[in-house]
Amino acid sequence: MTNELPYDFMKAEKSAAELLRKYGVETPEHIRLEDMAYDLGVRIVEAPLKGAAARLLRYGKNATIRVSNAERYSTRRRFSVAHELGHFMLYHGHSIEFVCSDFDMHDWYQAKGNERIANAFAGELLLPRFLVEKRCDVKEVNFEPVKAIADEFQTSLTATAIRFIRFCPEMCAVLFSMDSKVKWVYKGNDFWPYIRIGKSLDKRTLAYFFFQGKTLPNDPEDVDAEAWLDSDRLGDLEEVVEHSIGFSRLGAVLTLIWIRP
Amino acid sequence: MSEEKRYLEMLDALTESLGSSEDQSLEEVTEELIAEGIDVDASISRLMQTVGKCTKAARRQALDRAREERLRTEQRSSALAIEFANLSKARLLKMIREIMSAMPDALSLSFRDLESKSDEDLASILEDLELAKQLAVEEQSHDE
Repeated sequence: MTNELPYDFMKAEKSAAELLRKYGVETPEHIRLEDMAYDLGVRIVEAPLKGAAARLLRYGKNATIRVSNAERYSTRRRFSVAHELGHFMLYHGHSIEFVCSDFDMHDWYQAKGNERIANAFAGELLLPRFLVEKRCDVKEVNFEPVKAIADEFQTSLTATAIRFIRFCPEMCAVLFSMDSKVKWVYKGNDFWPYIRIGKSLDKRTLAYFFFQGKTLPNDPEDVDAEAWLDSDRLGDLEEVVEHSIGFSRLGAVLTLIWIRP
Repeated sequence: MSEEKRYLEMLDALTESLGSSEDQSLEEVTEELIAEGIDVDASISRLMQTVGKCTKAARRQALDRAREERLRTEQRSSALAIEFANLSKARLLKMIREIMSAMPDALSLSFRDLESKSDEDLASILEDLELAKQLAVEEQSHDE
């Protein structure tokens, strides 16, 4: 899938952008989620929550968002709040209760329906296009600019990488692998080759080494294009640049693939 | 020259020019301002930027007010969790249903499997509903 977004996504992003305008956001520090939520009539509670990452409970025009205090990473908690705020703002469903799992939010490219739309809302709210796009205009595609944006906006590396790919003018993609298999792919502008979801990682990829218990190199490296790409007609394309980061706690690898111009 | 002084001078010159501009064309007014040493386009652009900055800063004040109120109400509501944790399941269900029945748009809402939830879940649901309800009551009292 390319980064051309369906109508519902665009609507969700527009709604988040309107919120940013409403609160005069000019810098990342101005994205004060709890205060925005409160002004909109939503309380945020960090407390125990069994079997879910977050929950939205409506009471008429008001609501409470409960975020599990078991989540260790503040960036993920922040995404959870923005995601639930998305359900609230977009009036999803008629139920007063919205319970969202970790999967709904953090394996977000695989999530379905309203969950994906709430993720699109959260993506724009936390990483607004008008602030992020210029930071994605880079000469070399690797995790350095992604990490810098994630630090500045207090967002997870995965959510940031997806936004980075969306706005980066270079031909690049981000992939998430678990159990030595590609779990999801998000392609940027003009990234034409096909990458099959569910394919086993090729031994020539750097990501493969993570699942062999080896340490990944810190820097990007050139790898055989065929190791990642499934298209029959790769033509002159012999190598792509791969930069992979392993998450030991999740047993997963996040990979950036870049086709040099 | 300070930014403020520059704006004031520009506004003075603008007022002066506009004051006697009834019989002048737009070009003549502009020429007069240029003769006063004012780059009209650049000044207007700077002025608009300043207006934009002030507007955004004013909008952010809504967040400062929200923060103050939020911190105040957080202190008041921290006791709720303890209060509800000691209630029986029957009592929790009764209280949740009471709140739900009083909801403004209760007819369009549904809540599945309340009975099957644990006491702990029900207590947290009641707490969250109560917090949202408190906020609704506070907003109503602000409106009145």
